Amino acid sequence: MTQGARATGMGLAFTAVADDPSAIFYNPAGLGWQKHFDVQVGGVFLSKVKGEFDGANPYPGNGNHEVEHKTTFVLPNIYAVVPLTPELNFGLGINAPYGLGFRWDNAETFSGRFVAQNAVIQSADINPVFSYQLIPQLAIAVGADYRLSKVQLEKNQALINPFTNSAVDVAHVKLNSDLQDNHGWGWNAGVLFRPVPQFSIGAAYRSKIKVDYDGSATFQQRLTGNAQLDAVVAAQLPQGNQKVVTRIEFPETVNLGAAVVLPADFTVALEADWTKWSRFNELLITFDNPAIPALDRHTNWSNSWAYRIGLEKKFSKFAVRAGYYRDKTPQPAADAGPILADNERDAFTAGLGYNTDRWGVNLGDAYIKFKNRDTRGQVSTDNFFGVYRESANVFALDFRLSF
Amino acid sequence: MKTQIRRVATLLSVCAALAAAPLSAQVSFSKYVALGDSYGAGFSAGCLVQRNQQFSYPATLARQFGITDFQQPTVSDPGLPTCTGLKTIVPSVTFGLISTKTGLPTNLTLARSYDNLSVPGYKIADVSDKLTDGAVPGVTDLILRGKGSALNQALSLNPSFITLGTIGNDILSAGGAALFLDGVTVTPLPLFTAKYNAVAASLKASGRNGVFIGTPDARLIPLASTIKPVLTDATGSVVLVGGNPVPLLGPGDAAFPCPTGVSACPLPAGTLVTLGANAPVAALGGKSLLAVGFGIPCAVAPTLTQCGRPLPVGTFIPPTATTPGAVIPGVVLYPDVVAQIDKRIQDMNAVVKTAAEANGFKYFDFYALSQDLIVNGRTYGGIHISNAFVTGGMFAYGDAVHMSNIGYTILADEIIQFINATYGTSIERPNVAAVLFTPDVPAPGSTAIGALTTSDFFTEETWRGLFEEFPLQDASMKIVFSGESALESADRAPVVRVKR
Repeated sequence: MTQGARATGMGLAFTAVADDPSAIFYNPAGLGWQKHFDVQVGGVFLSKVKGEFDGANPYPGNGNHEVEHKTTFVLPNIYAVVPLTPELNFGLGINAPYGLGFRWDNAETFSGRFVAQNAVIQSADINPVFSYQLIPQLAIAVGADYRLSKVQLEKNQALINPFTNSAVDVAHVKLNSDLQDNHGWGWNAGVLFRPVPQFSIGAAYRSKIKVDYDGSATFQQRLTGNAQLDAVVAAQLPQGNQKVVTRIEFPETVNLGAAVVLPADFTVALEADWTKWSRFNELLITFDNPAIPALDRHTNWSNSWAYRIGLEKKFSKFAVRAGYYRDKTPQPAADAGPILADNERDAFTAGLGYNTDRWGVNLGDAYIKFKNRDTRGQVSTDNFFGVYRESANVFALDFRLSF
Repeated sequence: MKTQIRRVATLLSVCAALAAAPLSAQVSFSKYVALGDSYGAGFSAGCLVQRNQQFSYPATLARQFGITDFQQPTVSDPGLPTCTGLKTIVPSVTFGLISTKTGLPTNLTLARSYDNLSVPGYKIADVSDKLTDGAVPGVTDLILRGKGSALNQALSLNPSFITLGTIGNDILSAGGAALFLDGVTVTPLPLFTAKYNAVAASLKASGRNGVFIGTPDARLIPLASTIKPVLTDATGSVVLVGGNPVPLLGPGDAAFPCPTGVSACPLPAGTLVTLGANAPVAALGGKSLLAVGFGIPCAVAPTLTQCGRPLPVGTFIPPTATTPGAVIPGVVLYPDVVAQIDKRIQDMNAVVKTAAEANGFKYFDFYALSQDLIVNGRTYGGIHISNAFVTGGMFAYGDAVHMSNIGYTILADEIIQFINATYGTSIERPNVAAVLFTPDVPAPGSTAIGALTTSDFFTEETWRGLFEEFPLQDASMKIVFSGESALESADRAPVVRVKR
C-alpha cells in the first residue's frame, strides 16, 4: 500500500490529494491536474522492528518463545506522467504493492516449523493509466494492471516415529514459484473532484487480480537417526522437482478521500479504504503427483476497512508531514499462525519534502504497531496457541523530475 | 413506599447476583479421585508402567488441577505385565516383549488409598463389587491392596471432584470376539443400568462434582478399523481388479446371508474385519487367517491353500451335558452386528448421561469425541495424530485398543475443555507439545528388546490379552486356542470356553 514518500508521510491519506506522479497508484484521476512530463523514482524499505511469539498450552506449550527473522523488503517504484493533450494524460506506474514475508529464526527448531518456517509473497505491477479532465474541476481515469507475482513456502514435515511414539522431522519441503512465470490482469479507475483549489474529494478503485501460480516443490529428507524409519521415509519421499500449483485472488479495493487546504498552506486529508479480503477464503496448494496430499487451508478472511488522516504544512518549497491510520485486520483469530499472524494495527507517520517546479525529493516514515494477536483460549486452525507481538517500520524515499 | 420498592429491588438484585454467580466458584478440585478401567489407569502397549501412567488422563487432569500429591499404583520398567515394543517396520511390522523380566510396583507402600483407582479390565459392576483377583494376584490386587472395593476406597478419600470412566469393558469384548451376545460378550443393559445407577448414587455428595465418561464408537480403536473389508496389498492400499475393489469373503449372517448353497460370499460395505484376521495362529502354522487365504477369493489368489473359505464370525456353542459352552471368536462383524454394538453403546451412554445428571455430575460424550477423532484426528502445529495403528500416534502398539501417551493426553485435553465449558472454570489445557516430543521409550538398562521373541503385526498373545482386558461376562471363562481343545476347527479362530 505504501508507494510514495509523500503519501507515506501523510498516513497514506492521498486519494483526494493525488498531486504527484504516485497518484497513478493512489488515484490516477489526480493526473488531470499534472500538466508536465514528470518522472518519479523511489523505494520503500519495509522492515520488521519486532516479531516475537510466546507459546501456550496445549501447543507449542507454555514457556515456548520464538523470534521472527528481521527481514527487510526493498520495494522499488517508478512513476511517469506524460501529458498528451491539455485534458488527456498518460501515466505509467511500476511498483510492488504486495511484498510480505513471515520468516522465523532457528527454522529447524522453531515450534511452528511443520506449518511454516518461511512464507513470502511478492509482486510487481505494471500499471498504465489514462486520465481525462472533463472540466477544470473534475477528472476521471482508467488503467490496466498487469501483475507479476511469486510465492514461496518452506516448512518441515513431521511424522510420528512408531518406535518411540513421538514426533520427528522427516523432511524439509520448499514450494517456490518464479516471478516471471505467474501473472494476472486487473484494472483500476479513479475520479477526483476539486470544485475549488482548496478542497477536493476523490475515489479510486482497483479490481481483483487472479494469479495462477505454477511452481515446483522439493522434498529434502531429514534423518531421524532410526535407520528403519529413515528407509521407509526415503522410499516414500517424492524425488526431484514436483510440479505444484496454487491460486491467489488479490482483492479489489475502494479508496474514498477528502482533502482541504487551510490557510497558511496547511493540508488536512481524510480517507477510508475498503478491501474485499473475503476473496481470500482458502489457500489451496495442489501437486501434479497424486501421491502428495494437497495443502488446503481455509483462511476465511473478511472484508476490512482502514481509516487515515494526513497533515501537510508547506513552508514555501519545504514541507513537513504527519499522519496516522488504523488498519483493521481481515484475518480471523483462527487463521493466525506461523504462516501469518496479522492483527489490527496503528501507524504513526511523518515526512519531509523539498519540491520545486522542476524537481523534488521526499521522504516518509511509518511506524506500525500491531495489536498483540492472542490465540490462547481461541479456536486455532493450526492448533498453535500463544501471543504474537509485532511492529514494523516503513521508510520511503523518492525523487521527482519535471520537464 | 419508594423505600420498600428500593429494598425489594435490592433483594431481587442480590438474589439475581447469587443465581448468576459463576459455577466455577462452586467447584473444588482440591481432592480428585478417578474411578475407571485401563484407559484411566494409563494402560498402554500391553502393560502398566510409570512412563505411561504419568500420562493417564486422571494424572494429567490432576496436574492441570494443580494437585501435587496425586497418587497412582506406579510400576517400574519393563512394565506389568511386560510391555510390548515395536521391533521392526521393514520388511514387516513385528513386535516383541521388551524384556524377559517384569516391572515392580513402586508405590505399593502408600498408606492411604490411591487417588487413581482405575483398574484395567473393570466393568461398572467391578467398581462397586470386586475386591480381589482371587487366588492369582493381578492388577486388581495391585491397585486395591485389600483395602476394599474401588468405590469404597474412593469414598474414603472424600473427593471434591471425581471422574468415573468405565468406558468399554461392558461391551468391547463383543468386538474382540466378533460376537454380540448379552450375558456372554456384553453386559445386559438392565444389569448395566442398575449397577451404574448404584455407583452414581453412592458417589453423590453435597459439594462434590465430577464427570462421568461415556463409551466411544468402537470404530475408533485400531482393532476394528485397521483392516478393510476388501483386498489390500502389503502397504494397505486397496487392490483393484478390473477397476473395482475385491471384497473379502465371509460366511454371511441372518441380515446378510450368502446365497443358498454358497459358503462364502463378499462382505458388504460397512463390515468390520478385526485385526484378529491378521494374527498369526499356531494352528495355522504360525500364519494368520488372511495369510493362508481365508476370506480371499481364489480368483485373485489361487495358490493360497484356504482361498475361497470365509473369514469367521464369532459364534456361541451352548453347554451340553458333557461339554462346556464355548465362545468361538471370529474376526468379521457384519453391518447388523456393528449396528447392534453401536446401538448398545449409545444405550449405555444414555444410562451414563442420565445417572450423571441425576446425581449432580456431568456427562462427557466420548462417543461424539471418538467420531470426531475418527474423521479428523488432531493436528497440533502441523503434526497430525490419527487412530491409524502403529503409525497414527494416538494408539500404542501392542493390543490395538489402548492409547499412547499422546492419545491419553488428547483425551485429557478434551475432558478439561469440557470441564471448563460446563463448570465455567479456567483449568489450563495440558502441554501436548511436551508429550509429542518426548520419546516413549523404556528406562535405560531395563530392556533387551532386540534379543527377544518377536511376532507379527497383531499377535495371538495380543488376541488372548484382549480377553483379559475385555473379559467375557462369566469370570471363569478362558480363551483356548486351536490345538488346546477338542472344539477346535481348522478354519476357526481361538476358542473361548464357558464354564458352567
